[in-house]
Amino acid sequence: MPITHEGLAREFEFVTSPGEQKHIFNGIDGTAPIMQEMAYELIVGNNTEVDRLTQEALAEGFTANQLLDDGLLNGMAIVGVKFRDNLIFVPEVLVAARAMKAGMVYIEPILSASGVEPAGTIVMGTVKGDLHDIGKNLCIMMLRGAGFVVHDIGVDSSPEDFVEAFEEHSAQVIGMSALLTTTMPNMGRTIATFEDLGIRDEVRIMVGGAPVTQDFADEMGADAYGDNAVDAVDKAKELIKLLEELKSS
Amino acid sequence: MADEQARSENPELDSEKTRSSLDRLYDIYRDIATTADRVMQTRCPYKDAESRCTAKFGCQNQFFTSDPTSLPACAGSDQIDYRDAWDT
Repeated sequence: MPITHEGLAREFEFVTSPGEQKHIFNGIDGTAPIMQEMAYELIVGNNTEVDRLTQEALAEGFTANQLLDDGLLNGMAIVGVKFRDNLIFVPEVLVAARAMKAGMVYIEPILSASGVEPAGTIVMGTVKGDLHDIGKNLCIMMLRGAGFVVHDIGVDSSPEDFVEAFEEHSAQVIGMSALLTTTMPNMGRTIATFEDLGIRDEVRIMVGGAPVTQDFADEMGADAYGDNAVDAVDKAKELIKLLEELKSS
Repeated sequence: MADEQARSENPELDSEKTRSSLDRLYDIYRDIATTADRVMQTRCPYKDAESRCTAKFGCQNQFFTSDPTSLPACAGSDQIDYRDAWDT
């Protein structure tokens, strides 16, 4: 059966490697029209439509597995190919990731109810005085992809913003990002605020960003430094494991 | 509301298949993050596919058009380190 959704068929034409064509086509082949529409809307980053289609599909009786595999993942696979081949760039990828999140909002509770628990809860933000958010957003995408619940408090976040979000969401890890050398010290100020409030031991703090180094992270009193988005996931897993071991001992 | 709807209307889930799907999603994202690291060596990550600037901060490479609602064009060449143009 060909790909019936016109937009998705057009997007599929961007997949040119025979191996990938076969793999992605097999994933799409025979899927319901609503799944193909969902995949297409994810590729073009239409989070409102992904939200609507996810609700509609659940109401029609599609399973969470179908939503994930037939809709969202098929779309994201094409996004990955287009990005690698320089047909789209970081902003388009992040918009697609936002659309993925719009669908996952409805799927995550089903995962939890079926015993697929989140890997942990993280609050992420760019520190006070810094408006650069690409690194943070890529980390958030990766962390969500790894099964973490991530609360994004955005850019220009004060120490109080981090504390407030930590308390509101009972986060296990705080992730701070900075791009500027002038705003990096605000990471230390945020850590000091957690210490002053007597809640430093309840949370693990990781830092990252272009000018940030392991030495700087150590100096600031952070628990971990993430060199890139993939590393941030590994570090977050380690921190949560250590925190749980500490709490159970 | 999403939580309620999901639980009441779609309780069944193949956990093993789900874990496999989540692993696949992670693999896709990991490839994307690796590509991003490569692309960002030369191309500003705030520059979209139509060479418009999506940054929420000032940059010397931003070229504003007469349409105040549209994103500024990016005049960066990708030959010079784009970070030097960012307002700090």
